[in-house]
Amino acid sequence: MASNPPVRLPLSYVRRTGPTIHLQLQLGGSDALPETGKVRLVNGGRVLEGSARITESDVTGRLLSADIPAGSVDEGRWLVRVAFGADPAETDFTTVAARVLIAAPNPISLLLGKTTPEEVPAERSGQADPNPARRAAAVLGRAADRVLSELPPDKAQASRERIRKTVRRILP
Amino acid sequence: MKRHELLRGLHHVIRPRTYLEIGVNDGRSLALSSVPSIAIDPAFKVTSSLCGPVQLERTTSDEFFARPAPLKFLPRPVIDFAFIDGMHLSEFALRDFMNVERWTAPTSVVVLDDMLPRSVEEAHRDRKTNAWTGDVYKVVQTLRILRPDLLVLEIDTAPTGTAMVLMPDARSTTLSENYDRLVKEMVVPDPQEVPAEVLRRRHVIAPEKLLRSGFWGQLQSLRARSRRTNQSDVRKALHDADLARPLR
Repeated sequence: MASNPPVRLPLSYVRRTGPTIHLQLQLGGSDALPETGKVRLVNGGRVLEGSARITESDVTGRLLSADIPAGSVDEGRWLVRVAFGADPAETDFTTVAARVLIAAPNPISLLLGKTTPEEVPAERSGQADPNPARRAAAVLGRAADRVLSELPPDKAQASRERIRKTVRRILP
Repeated sequence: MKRHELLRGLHHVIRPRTYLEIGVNDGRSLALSSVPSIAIDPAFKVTSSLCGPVQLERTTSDEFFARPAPLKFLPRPVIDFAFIDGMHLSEFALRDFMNVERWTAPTSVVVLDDMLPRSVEEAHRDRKTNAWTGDVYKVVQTLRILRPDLLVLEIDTAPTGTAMVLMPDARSTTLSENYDRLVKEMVVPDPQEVPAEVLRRRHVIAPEKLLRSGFWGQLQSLRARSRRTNQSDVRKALHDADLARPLR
């Protein structure tokens, strides 16, 4: 089985043509790859599968192109799983570091990365947490941060961990 | 004039009530906003002091705008001023504009960065240079062809130029209807065929002249009035200010 090559963005895209989703992935790596493969778009228990062709040229590098019947595709983030060879086994499919985002009325989008980047809370959003205990904890946390900033980094980090554990035990 | 000086001036003359930024990086441009703001970047590393209420989102712009009510942080779900400096690939920049435009009023102002590459190498989709525009310059060409209702100004800023889009129409579906065809045309191997007029900045407007324009006062008046402002109101103001000359 060929190893899973990295996906490069410059010539990678996804678009929809009528009932078909066309996916092109520009592949890095130098391992030899067969000329055919399979691509699956996976969202929970839903799986859409299409055949893939792998081509290579000096201009484009290695491209994997797949036409996947859109079928029951609907909104959400779809993982991209790839297997190489004409008749790959179930265990040959591996998830590549790219995902397809379908969000009507937006166009279909190809994004790099296997998962959604973590969303962080607003730094100074002005939107207070409705839970008074968590609001108080946030105020104490900021006060603790000011005090701990005077300590050496390793000691500050250890103290932060102790404070966090204590707060998690107290908060609902 | 550098890009950040232009942005500082635009905050001053537009006096936006809301601001949205795609591509935050170290927060230098976000720091220029003092109004309720949303800033989106999957890998921001803010080092600048910020001076307004801001929602920082560590996610991609596509995923942010896929949410049911992405602008709920803002006092009103309309972006008065947007700065797009996200992924430097044309299909991403086009999607960013499409996503932003859905949340605009005709009086909104959208600025896109890195629209004037100085060399073909700088416009490679596959980054080869330190300063990198990618092929986002294609967005200006696309908007001029498919959206003649918009006014797109190329602005002669350092280092890599900016573009301003005026008279956005949140109801327009032209770009999304043509998106798949555009992707096919835009995503092509390097080197990109960058038009000479882009490389030589033949159709640019001086940022100083733009900031001095009487249009901005009229824009504020249009935004403040109670009657709903439409594209033709803004077009007339642009015409009066001598900014509406066709740039093809």
